[in-house]
Amino acid sequence: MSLFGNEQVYGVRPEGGGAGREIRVRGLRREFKRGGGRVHALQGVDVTFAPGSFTAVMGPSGSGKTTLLQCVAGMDRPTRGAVHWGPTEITRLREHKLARLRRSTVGFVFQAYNLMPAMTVAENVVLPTRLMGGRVDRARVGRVLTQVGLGGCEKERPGRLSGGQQQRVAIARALYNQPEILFADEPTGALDRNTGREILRLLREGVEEHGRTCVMVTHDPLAASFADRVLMMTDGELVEDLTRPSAAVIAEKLGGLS
Amino acid sequence: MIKMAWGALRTRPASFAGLATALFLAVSVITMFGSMVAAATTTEGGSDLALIGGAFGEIAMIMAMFVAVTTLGFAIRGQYRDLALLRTVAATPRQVRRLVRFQVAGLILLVSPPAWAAGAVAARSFLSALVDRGLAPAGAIVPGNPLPPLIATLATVLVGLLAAVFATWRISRGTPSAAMAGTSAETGRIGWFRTLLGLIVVGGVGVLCGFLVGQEPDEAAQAALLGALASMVALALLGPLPARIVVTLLGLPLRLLRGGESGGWLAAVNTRGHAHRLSSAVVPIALLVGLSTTFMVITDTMRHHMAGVLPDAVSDDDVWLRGVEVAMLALFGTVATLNTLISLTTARKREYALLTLIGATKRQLVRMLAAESVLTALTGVVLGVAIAAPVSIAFALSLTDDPVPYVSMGDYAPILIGAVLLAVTAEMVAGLRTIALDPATTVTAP
Ligand SMILES: Nc1ncnc2c1ncn2[C@@H]1O[C@H](COP(=O)(O)OP(=O)(O)OP(=O)(O)O)[C@@H](O)[C@H]1O
Ligand SMILES: [Mg+2]
Repeated sequence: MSLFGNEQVYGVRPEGGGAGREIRVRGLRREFKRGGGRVHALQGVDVTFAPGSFTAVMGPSGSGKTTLLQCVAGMDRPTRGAVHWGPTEITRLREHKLARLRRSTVGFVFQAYNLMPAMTVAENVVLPTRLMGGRVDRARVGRVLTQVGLGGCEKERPGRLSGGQQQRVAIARALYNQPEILFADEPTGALDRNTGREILRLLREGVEEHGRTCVMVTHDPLAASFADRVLMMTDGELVEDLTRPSAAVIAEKLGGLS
Repeated sequence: MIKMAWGALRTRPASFAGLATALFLAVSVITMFGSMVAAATTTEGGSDLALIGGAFGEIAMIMAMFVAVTTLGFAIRGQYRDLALLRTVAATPRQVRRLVRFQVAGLILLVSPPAWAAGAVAARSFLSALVDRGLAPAGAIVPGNPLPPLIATLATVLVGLLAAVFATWRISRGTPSAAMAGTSAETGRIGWFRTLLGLIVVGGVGVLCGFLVGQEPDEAAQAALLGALASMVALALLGPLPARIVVTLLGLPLRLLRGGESGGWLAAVNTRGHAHRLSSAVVPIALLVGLSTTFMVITDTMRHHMAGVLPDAVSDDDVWLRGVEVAMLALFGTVATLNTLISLTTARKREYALLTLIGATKRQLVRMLAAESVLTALTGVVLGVAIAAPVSIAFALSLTDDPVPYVSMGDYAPILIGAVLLAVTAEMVAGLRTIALDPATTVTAP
C-alpha cells in the first residue's frame, strides 16, 4: 500500500526533448514584510526563457536572484505578475496542482541543499519520485550518483558528507527524474574548480542532449560562461542581458554593478 | 512511504515516546471510566457508582485529552522542518497532511492494546477499592464489555486527527518557500483566530466564575475544576503573551548578572527571544501547578469551612477519593512536563553547538542551562498559580463571604517545590546530555 495513495504520475519527458515549454515571466514583483516595513525583493521583472536554453543569473548578494528563481519555479508566490510554463499560468494554480506539476516537470537545486537528514543519500535522490508514487530504478540512482562523482555513496546519511558532497546529492536529486526544466541556486557554490566544472558539464549536457531548459544562479563568472545567456540583477531588477559572453566580459560587467 | 512516516518517528525518539505515553494515558483513562460506567449499568444499585465515576472521569478524561492534544501539537511542530523540506521537493499539501494523519492514527492503534489492558486493570482495582470502602455495592464487577476500549480508541483517534488538522495548518498551506521560511523563525506572534479563541475561553472562565459563586459546594467544586482546565486551554492558546511578560519580569535579576563569565545574561536574552518556545515549555508546568492548586484549594477550603460548621462532616472516604484524583492529575502533569521539556531541550542541540563553536565555555553553557531551567520552572509556577486564582477565589466566595481561599501549606508547598524540582531536573538532565554532543558534527548536519 502506498501511504500517499495513487498519485497521478505525469509522464517523464521522453529522451531527446523536442518541443519543451517556454517559460514566460511578466511584471514579477515580490515584497516581503520585515520589521515594520517592506522589502522589495523583485521590482517588476520581465523575461522569457526559451525551451532548451541555458541561462545564468548573476548579481550582488541580496539582489533578488533566489527570490526570482523560487517564483519562476513555483516555490514562492509573487506579490504581483505572472509566470507561465508553456500554456499554463502557474501563478494561478492551487498549491496542490502546482506541487504535482512541479515535480513532474521541474528539478530544483537549493542554495541550502534541503536534504532530509534522516534519509540515506539514495532515499533523498528518489524522494520526489516516491512522492509521485513512481517506481524507483536502483540502477539509475547509481548512474546519477556516479555522474555527480558520488558513486557508491547510496547508503550514507547526508550528515556524514562534506558540504560539497551534500550539494552534489541535491544535484543528483534534481537530475534523477530527467526534468524538463532545471533550476539551480548556486549549484557549484561549495565545490572546488574541477568538481564544479564536472557539474557544469553535466548541466550543459542535459541542455544539449535532452533539450532541458536550465536556469542557474551563480556568483562565478567562469561558471556563468557555461551558459548561453547571462542575466544580471541589482535591487530586484534585471539590468543586463548578455548572449554568450566570455568569462572576462562577465567579470567586467559584474564589477560595474553597484 | 509508510517507511517515511516511521522514519520520522524514529529520528525523534524522545518526542514520540512522550507522545506515545500521552496517547496511551488518554486511551487507558477513557477505557477505565468507560468500564466504570459499564460496571454501574450492570450492577444493581449502581447509580452512586455512576455518579462517582462520572464526576471523577469527566475531569480525568478532559485532562487526558488536553495533554494528548498539546503533546501532539508539539510533536508535529517538532518535525516542521522535515515537513517543509518535503514540500520543497514537491510533496503536495495533501500528502503532508496524510503523512501526519498516518503517524497519529498509527501511533494510537499501536498503544491501544496495552492501554486497554491498563485501563481495565485500573478500573478493576478502583472498583474494588470503592467496594472495600462501601462506596459501591458489594457485588459490583467490571463486565467484559468491548465497547469502552473501542470508544476510547475511536475518541482518541478523532481528537488526535482534529488536533493534527490545526497543527499542520501553517505547514500545509501556502507556498513551499513560505513553509521553509516559517521553520527558521518562530515569530512567537499568534494568529488572530487563535487570539480570538483564547479571548472567548477567557470570557467563558469569567462567566463560569460568576456562576460558581452561587452554587452548592459540590457543584461549585466541579465547576471550579472545569474553570481551571478552561484557563489552561486559554493559556495554551494565548501562551506566548503571558509567558513573555512573566519571563521578562522574572528575568530581570538574571540580566543584572551580565558581568564576567555569567551565563545568566545569555539565558535571559535567549529565553525572552524565544517566547514561543518558552510558552510551550511553561504550559505543562503551569498545568501541573494550576490544577493541583485548584484541587488543594477546593479540598482544603471545603474542609476548613465544614470543620467550622459541622466538625465531623468530612469523611475519610471523600479525602481518599480526592487523593486519587490529585495523584492522577499529577501523573498527567508530570508526563506532559517531562515530555515537553526533554524534547524542547534536545531540539536545541544546534544552538548549543553553535554557542560552543563561537567560544562559549562548557561552564557558561551549564550556567545558562541552569538559569534557563529555573526561569522556565518559576514562570510555569507563577502562571499556574495565576490560573488557579480566579476559580479559587470564586470557590471561596461560594462557601463564605471571604474571597481568600484556605490552603494548608503543609500539603501545598511540596507540590510547588515538587513541580519546580521536576522541571529543573528534566531540563538539566536533557540539556547536559545535549551539550555533551560533539558541536562540530551537530552544526554541519543538515
Ligand atoms: N523570507 C523573506 N523575508 C523577508 N525578506 C526576504 C525573504 N527572503 C528574501 N528576502 C529579502 O529579499 C531580498 C532578496 O533576497 P534573495 O534571497 O533573493 O537574494 P539573492 O540575490 O539570492 O542573494 P544571495 O546572493 O546572497 O543568495 C533580500 O533583501 C532579502 O533580505
Ligand atoms: Mg540566493
